[in-house]
Amino acid sequence: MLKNTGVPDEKDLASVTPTKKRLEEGPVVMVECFQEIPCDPCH
Amino acid sequence: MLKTDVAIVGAGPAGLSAAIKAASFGADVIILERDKWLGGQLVKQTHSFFGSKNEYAGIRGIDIANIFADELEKMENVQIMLETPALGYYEDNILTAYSPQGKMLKIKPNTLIFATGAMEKMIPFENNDLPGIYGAGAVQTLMNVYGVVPGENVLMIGAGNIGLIVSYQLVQAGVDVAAIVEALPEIGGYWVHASKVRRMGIPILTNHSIIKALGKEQVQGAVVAQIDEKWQPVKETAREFQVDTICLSVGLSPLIELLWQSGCHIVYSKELGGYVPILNEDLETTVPGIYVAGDASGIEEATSAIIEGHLTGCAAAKKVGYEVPKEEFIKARKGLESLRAGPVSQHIRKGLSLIRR
Ligand SMILES: Cc1cc2nc3c(=O)[nH]c(=O)nc-3n(C[C@H](O)[C@H](O)[C@H](O)COP(=O)(O)OP(=O)(O)OC[C@H]3O[C@@H](n4cnc5c(N)ncnc54)[C@H](O)[C@@H]3O)c2cc1C
Repeated sequence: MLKNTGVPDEKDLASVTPTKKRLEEGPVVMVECFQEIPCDPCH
Repeated sequence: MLKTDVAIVGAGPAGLSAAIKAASFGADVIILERDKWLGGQLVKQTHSFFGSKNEYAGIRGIDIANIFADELEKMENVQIMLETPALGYYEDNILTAYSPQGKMLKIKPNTLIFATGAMEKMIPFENNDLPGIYGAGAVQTLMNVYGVVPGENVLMIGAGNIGLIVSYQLVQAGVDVAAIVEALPEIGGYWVHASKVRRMGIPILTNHSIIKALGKEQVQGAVVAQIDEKWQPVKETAREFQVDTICLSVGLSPLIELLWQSGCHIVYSKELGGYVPILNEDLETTVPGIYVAGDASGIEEATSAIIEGHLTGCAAAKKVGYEVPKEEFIKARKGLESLRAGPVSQHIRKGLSLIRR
């Protein structure tokens, strides 16, 4: 789906969603980058 | 006749980083750039660059160009010649160029680095010569360099990174993007960009292509249809989009006319975007003393162009007799290797394996 339409499904989102524990701690940045690409500024 | 240790054709990220490196080891450098400004593609990039942080990723393209320009300004052994296209390179090692005053210049460099970048590809379809059909690069230049929007409603052809990013920038400029049409079954650009433009409401139609442009004097619409596995349009799926602009983002091919003319051995590589020079590990062509860096040696990204610039800058300075530590070469080669190690760079690795000597 994502690779055909640009729309991520639940599985795609799960792969980038912070852990439950981290979510409970409060607001957190979620980096919506689903692939391993040659790019590192967010790491 | 001008003489120099290193002449560089093209002032994009590859040419500029090559100049900085070569000059830092003491070489005299002349940069020839046909545009009015330094930076190549960087000048029109308003977005924060993806790529390696060490090579300025995370900074807007236009700001990266300014970082290079500031650094070069401090270097006394670099001469920058703007609005000066290089025209030819001849057997007696003379590079010719055309000055802004309309004079033919002759330059005799000891080494030469071609960093001429790439040009946009075109695709055949009915009416593809109507006014209102642009390359995505042209649209970006119009908008981000000259502040002119190309139209009100755009159909983007091609879902690679450039198609996705230019679509985003069109929306930022207040232009409506009706859809992004992609003939391949999968989006070619990074999915992080794709999901961002999709979230803005722009549909991405994979397995679709443009069949024809509509209009007489200028674009008034476009017909798009699904295509089958033989790339033939499926008639019943044809539909019209009411747009005044069609933007083609269907790939780039290396700009290598001067390399052909210099007698370098050239081969075709689908993976690298077209005809490319055979290069050794210093990115030297089969003509000794001629090097190539950046998109001119195969379509990649700014990070690789910058590192290739470093590598050729080191190699050219060394060739003319300046001392360049071995570690500089190792660092650049390692940088390129790790950049190209991931799954999305598979085609680059394949292409390069065929053209290295
Ligand atoms: C929309 C878009 C978004 C992009 N986003 C990113 C990104 O986020 N991250 C990333 O890493 N990369 C990105 N890129 C890719 C990146 O811009 C290019 O890979 C990079 O600019 C290539 O550098 P280069 O120096 O090889 O060529 P260019 O930047 O194309 O520079 C070549 C220069 O050579 C000059 N020239 C050509 N022929 C002559 C001649 N005969 N005489 C004199 N001058 C000449 C040209 O005028 C030009 O200035 C993007 C590209 C586009 C189009």
